[in-house]
Amino acid sequence: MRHWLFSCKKVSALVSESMDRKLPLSKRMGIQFHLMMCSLCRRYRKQLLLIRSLFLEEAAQDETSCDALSAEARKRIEKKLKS
Amino acid sequence: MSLQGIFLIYPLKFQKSHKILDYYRKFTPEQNGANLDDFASSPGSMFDTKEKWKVKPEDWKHDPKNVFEQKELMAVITACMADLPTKLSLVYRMRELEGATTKQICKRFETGESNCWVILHRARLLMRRCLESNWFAEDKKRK
Repeated sequence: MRHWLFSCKKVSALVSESMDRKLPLSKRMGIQFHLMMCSLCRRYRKQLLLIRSLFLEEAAQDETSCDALSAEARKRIEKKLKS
Repeated sequence: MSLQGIFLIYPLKFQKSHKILDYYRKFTPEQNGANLDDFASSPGSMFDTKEKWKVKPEDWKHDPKNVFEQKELMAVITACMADLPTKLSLVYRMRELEGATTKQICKRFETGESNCWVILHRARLLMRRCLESNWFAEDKKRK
């Protein structure tokens, strides 16, 4: 019975791994089962996802700043093309 | 984005990613596996003998809503990133900020993929704890 009940230590590792690859069904079910019962691991997962979303936002902001530069450059090019 | 925009951005991006890879390459040789053993004990200390949380993750009630707070938080994250052991922070940064897959990371650091997952797991554990004590705990004090 015990061997398919994951511990918090194992679930924390698997939650992290699930952010890097698709886990096999058995592991996903094991995680879900553990998360249903363990609020601390649920919280841990939520926090990891929050940190990742922060990174994504940061990356997106870098993109837009890159975009802003290109818009400026675009204007310059358009001006040159017209003249 | 206009066609001209694409032509402008893509070569730039390519150059940038090339430079980043060179940067990582500098670090790889001597650090391969050498200090991996140091990390082996670190996640253990966060769990007790029954493999339950020893240091319980606290509830982060406060979400950064406005831009200024987010910038502040990003600064804390950057500081935490710098506090991580070198290899952890390199791999973690590559994964989360550059969006590299674990396969690409393995190739760069010449390790197995399962090793990468373990490294990332440790980086995330440490990052979470660092953020909790440096940002979310501070927040509580303020209230």
